[in-house]
Amino acid sequence: MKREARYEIRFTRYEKCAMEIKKGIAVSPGISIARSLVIDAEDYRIPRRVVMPAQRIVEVQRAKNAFKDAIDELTQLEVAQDESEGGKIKDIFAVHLRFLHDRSLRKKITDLVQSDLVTAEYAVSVTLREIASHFTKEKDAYISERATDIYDMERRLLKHLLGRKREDVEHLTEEVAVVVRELSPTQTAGFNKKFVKGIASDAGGRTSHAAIVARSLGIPAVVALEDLTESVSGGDTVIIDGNRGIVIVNPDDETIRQYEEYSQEFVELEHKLDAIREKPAVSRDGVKVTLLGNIEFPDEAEMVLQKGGEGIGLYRSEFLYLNRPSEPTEEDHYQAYAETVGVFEHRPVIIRTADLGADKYTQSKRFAPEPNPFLGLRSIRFCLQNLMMFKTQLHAILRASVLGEVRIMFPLITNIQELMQAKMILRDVMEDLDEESITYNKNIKVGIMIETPSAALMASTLARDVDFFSIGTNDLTQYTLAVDRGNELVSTLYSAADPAVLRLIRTVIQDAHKAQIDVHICGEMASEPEYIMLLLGMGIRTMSLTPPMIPEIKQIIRSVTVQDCNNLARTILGMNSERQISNYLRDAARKILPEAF
Amino acid sequence: MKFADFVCFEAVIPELKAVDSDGVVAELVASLDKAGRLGKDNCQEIGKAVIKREKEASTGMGKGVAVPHVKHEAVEDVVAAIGQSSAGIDFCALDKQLVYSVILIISPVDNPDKHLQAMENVFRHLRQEKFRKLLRQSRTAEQVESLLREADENPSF
Repeated sequence: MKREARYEIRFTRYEKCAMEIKKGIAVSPGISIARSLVIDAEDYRIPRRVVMPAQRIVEVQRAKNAFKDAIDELTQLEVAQDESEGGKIKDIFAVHLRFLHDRSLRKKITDLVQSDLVTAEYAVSVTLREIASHFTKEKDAYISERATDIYDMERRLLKHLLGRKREDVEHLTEEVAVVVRELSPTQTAGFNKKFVKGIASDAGGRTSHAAIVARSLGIPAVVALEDLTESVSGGDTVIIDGNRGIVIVNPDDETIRQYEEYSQEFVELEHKLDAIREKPAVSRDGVKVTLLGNIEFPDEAEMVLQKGGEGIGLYRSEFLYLNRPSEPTEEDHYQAYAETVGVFEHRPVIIRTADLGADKYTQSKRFAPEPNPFLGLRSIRFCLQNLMMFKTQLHAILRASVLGEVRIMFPLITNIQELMQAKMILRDVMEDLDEESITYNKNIKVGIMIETPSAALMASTLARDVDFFSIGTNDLTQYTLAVDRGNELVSTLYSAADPAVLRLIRTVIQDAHKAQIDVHICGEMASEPEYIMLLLGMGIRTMSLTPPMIPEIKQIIRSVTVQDCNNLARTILGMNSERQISNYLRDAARKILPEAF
Repeated sequence: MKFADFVCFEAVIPELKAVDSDGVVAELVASLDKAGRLGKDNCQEIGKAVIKREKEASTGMGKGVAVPHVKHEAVEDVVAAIGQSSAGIDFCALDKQLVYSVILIISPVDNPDKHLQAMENVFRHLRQEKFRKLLRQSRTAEQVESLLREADENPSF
């Protein structure tokens, strides 16, 4: 069925690039209509595009020109190299040149264009990759390594063929929708956020990195589109519908018009919600709830304030480590924290210490890859084995602590030893500051994330030694249900509404109340409207969420009574199936805020 | 930093005489002093400083291990003593368990990073159950020394 549909689309491309509708998972609301930017990945594949028969000559000429340009470039490079280091680099260029001068190679590529009616870039890519794969199979290391040279030549030829179309996200000059196989944290850190209007990715789920980033930037995103990158080429117009989970490639004029209208309506709804910004998050029966924002970059702090957030409940500090060649200095840390704290003055800013590793494992070049990074040396474990790096961050957080209400939060604590060690190092760093006569808040509040089943089960013990808990529902769900949230094959099993997850959350909340310490929710659960009544009913009074969702969540809080929420929670916690719970929650929420569902 | 870089093997006490945390600290400080690692007449002062710090927050980090430490001008480099107690000592550890191995670390004032490098090593090895068990089972100073040297050679140990 699907095959047929695609065939039809291919066929109509002879006339004009046909409109194509793709269905994925909506992860960040909003509508964007923009030109696409297909981001280069390691295994970037040039989409197979068919050309009109008359176009063949043009494509053959483009291929020939690319060879000529690449040869010119290489000749210049070769001449510029001197004989130093035994002329090794010069030799490499000479080899590449010999290869590109090979007529049979060029013929192979132009023949492919002629016979299969494909673009020059596709023919170049397919042909060179096939040659490279032969090299890779060779047992002799010297020969197999030559595959790298072939890839290098492929890149060079493609650069000439595609020109500036393959620019990266850092140097944008116009509004784009980013289309990507899977968004890496490094790519995100390099975004020029002013110009990225939407994100669409082949892989991912509701809590994948692309989704989190899109929500925090307040731009629409759709993920799990499977093969979208193969259907879009750079510059195609795409509509990203982050409400319905749809991406439309090359929309026709009528579709664009409809979407512009729809987008307008959506913006109006958002404005309506913004109107409640100044109003407190208080339930109808007078219970006050504190809404904080989750942020990744300092410049998002302002958005939290604009949306009516009362502080930062989760300040992810990993961005400091990404997209830079060296480790951040203490000053880099301090500047980022000071900027954010400055926005909030005396309202809380909870800084989470480096949560590197696993999906955020950006420093893979420096450390041997682990077989199972989600269960490996990540997060607080990584910090406790890299104390110099940890100290640098703690030092900066403590320095910033005099600027406002800064709090420290340790991620992924799984046992009391880790908490003990982290606190011991914090104390050592405090003593360093004393000796350096640097002032800091000696009574800085220290909390931990509860995001593993072990921490949830040991909450009563851990509570004795911290000022607050923050329940990270994303990881807690993933570790409790043993589901990789980014794996499309099993991501449907991932649900915070699973009774096992809810029981752990209840335990944590009860233990925190008994120990009289604060307990927050900072996972995605707090930004999903259907969970709000349940969380209130379970006793949560502080939630930290992605900034664009704050008005909507506040609206829900203002429409309910805690009495009703308590009743709902009691019913839910008596249920044994995820589906039953999900349905019940959705029905309950629909009654309160129909337009959100 | 490896154990051999900062542990003073002459100051290893295979069976501590003291029965409380203050006594253990005093005994280990005296042992380092006897080995000539604390300069002149600093023993009392260092002992008091460690005990004071321990009173503020226990360094009993659970699983039967405590790591009392302090910075002091008497040392130019990190130096540590290790004491073992088969009966166990109450160090007010977080997990409320008795402590069987005590690693006392004295660090230089002017180079705080050295202290962290030593701690990093201690953390790494104390994470391993096998290491904690073998340390607790060591009955002589020689056994402790050979265990630490083996740990230095074998990072996964």
